[in-house]
Amino acid sequence: MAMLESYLKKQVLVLTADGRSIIGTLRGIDQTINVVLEKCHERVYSEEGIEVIPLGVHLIKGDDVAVIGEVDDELDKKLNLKEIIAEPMKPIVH
Amino acid sequence: MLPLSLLRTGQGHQIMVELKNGETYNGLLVNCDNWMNINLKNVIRTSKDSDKFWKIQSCYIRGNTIKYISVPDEIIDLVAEEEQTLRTTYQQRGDSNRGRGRGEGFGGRGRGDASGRGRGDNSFRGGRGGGNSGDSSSASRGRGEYRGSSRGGRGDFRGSSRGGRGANNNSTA
Repeated sequence: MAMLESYLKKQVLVLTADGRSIIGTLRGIDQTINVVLEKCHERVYSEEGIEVIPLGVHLIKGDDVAVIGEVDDELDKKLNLKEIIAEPMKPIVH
Repeated sequence: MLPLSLLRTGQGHQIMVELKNGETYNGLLVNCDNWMNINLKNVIRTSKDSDKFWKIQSCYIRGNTIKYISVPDEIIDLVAEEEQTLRTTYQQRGDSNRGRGRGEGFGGRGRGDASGRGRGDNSFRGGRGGGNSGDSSSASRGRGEYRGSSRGGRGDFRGSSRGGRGANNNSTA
């Protein structure tokens, strides 16, 4: 918790258990790592580059959160998402 | 902002819920609880591959089956507003508590011992009745008198200090 609070109001990337990557401003967290993201979008990786899907305000359940990482805004803006080609991530299997 | 306060604020608004099994539920959020169990009204259920749709009048979704919930953008502003109003009411309450607390602090000291006693007694008796305060001021040098009068005061002090504890608890909670 204490570590996540330092990400509040910052741009973060959330990798979910089903292999999605969602980027947005971290607006809230709780003890179960439920996460509130504002102005968030999903990045869908495929052979035709990265597709960005706007999502708005999302509340992601802690169960579904695998990784939360701080995003370097400057660096992120320089990326040309259409030219980055990567395989989509696979969901977590238990 | 806590995720659950966001959800609570979202009551009465249209939300989209995706379950762990991939189904989505679009509907009006009627109710939610601390486990994120939710009640929806006028629901459209969509299958995992978005190829089948069902219309449901109302449904209950157990919180632990939820993957994520999408809420309208404006809810986040509503939460901020609510938090602000809560903060101001707490502040006001906190002030009045502090005021009360201080008063009782004197009482407590009065009950306790020595220097405090005189102060607490005086202020209290001044408030309660001239007879007593006259008592204490005229005969305050005498120990016996003092005790007698402070006994009278004790009941008061206790009662008030109990109230004070309650109030303090409230302010910390």
